[in-house]
Amino acid sequence: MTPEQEHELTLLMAASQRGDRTAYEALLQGLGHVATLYVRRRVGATPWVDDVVQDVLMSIHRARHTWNPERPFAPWFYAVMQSRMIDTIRRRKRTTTWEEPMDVVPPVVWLPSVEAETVARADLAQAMRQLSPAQRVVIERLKLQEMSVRQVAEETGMSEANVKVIAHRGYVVLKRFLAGIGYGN
Amino acid sequence: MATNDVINTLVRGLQPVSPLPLTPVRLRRWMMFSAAVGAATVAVIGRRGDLATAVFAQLFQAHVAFLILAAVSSAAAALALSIPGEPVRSWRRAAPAVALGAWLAWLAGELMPLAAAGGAHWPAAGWGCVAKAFAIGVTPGLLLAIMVGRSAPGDVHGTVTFVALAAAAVGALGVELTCPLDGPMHLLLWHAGPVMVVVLLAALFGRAAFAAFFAPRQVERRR
Repeated sequence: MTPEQEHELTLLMAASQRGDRTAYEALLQGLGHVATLYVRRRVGATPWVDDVVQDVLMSIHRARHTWNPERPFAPWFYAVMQSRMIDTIRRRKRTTTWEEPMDVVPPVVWLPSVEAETVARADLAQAMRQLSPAQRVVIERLKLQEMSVRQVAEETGMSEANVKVIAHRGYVVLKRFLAGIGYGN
Repeated sequence: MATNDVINTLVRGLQPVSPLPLTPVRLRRWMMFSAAVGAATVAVIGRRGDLATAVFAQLFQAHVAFLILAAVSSAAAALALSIPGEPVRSWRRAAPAVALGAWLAWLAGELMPLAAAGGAHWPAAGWGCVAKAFAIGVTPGLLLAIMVGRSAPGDVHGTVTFVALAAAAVGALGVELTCPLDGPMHLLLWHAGPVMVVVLLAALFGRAAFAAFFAPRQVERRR
């Protein structure tokens, strides 16, 4: 979810809570799209992606009063989506296991696609925004520009030890955020 | 059913909703309600005769402080866990257990010297204390359960356990105000014991009970 999308969806959600059906339809369409990309990225192009997305939308509907406009929308949405997705996938897999012999079930293969890569980039960008300015500068220099710790220290005027500590704290923030939206589980 | 059909159905059924207040606001409401109901129940049951002097005793103050901390931190954790995406840091999850552990450790610390001197005797049955704890803790506990049930907890098991601990701590706090017995064995068995039993029962059966009452709203991630 890009920041622009999040801003737009936040406004739509606030209007939906007030009972605006047009806004709600646009919100569900938007969330359905995000959820579809997210689920496909996690489980591949399985035939039951739509079922998972529909479950997610129904959960959003039931839990819509739990989002407070004073709080960010994306963490709320991802928490609801992830809970429902895992639940549905497990139920699906359990049902599939009982209904079909294992050797007939096609293996779930994750195929990287342009769509999935776009989503991953957006997630990473959002994760980077969780960092403090100092953490962002250090991690961008170390990981994106592939500078050494010494080079970063010289450029930023910090000690090498300080660069390492700031980078470590930044990695913890990134790891926690990415785990929260479904990576690395 | 196609996703667009689901969306149309949901849009047709849309009603305005009032967003739940932020967790600190909900916690404050619960605390005010619990304090009022707890005080009223204690008044009905009758406060301990030596309360005026007991409040100055370090023993009493420590017990009350640990129990207030356990009740408030448990309620805060339960309310935070019931909101999807609300960040619940590990210290917030650990605080109730730390408060409860500190209370139990304090009680055990009082018992040790007594036991070493051979003065720790099995106390008389204290079912009256259990009944008082139930009477004082049940209403705040039910209110907290309803507040959590109106939300959408992702970790139902943890949420229900925290609800139970908050209610049991309020009950134990009320018993401290109504029971004049200060013997460490009595406190450990008949004041702390019920708290442990309630928390254990919630940890074992709380999720099933929650699902039975609040299933349509829950957004649980099964582990």
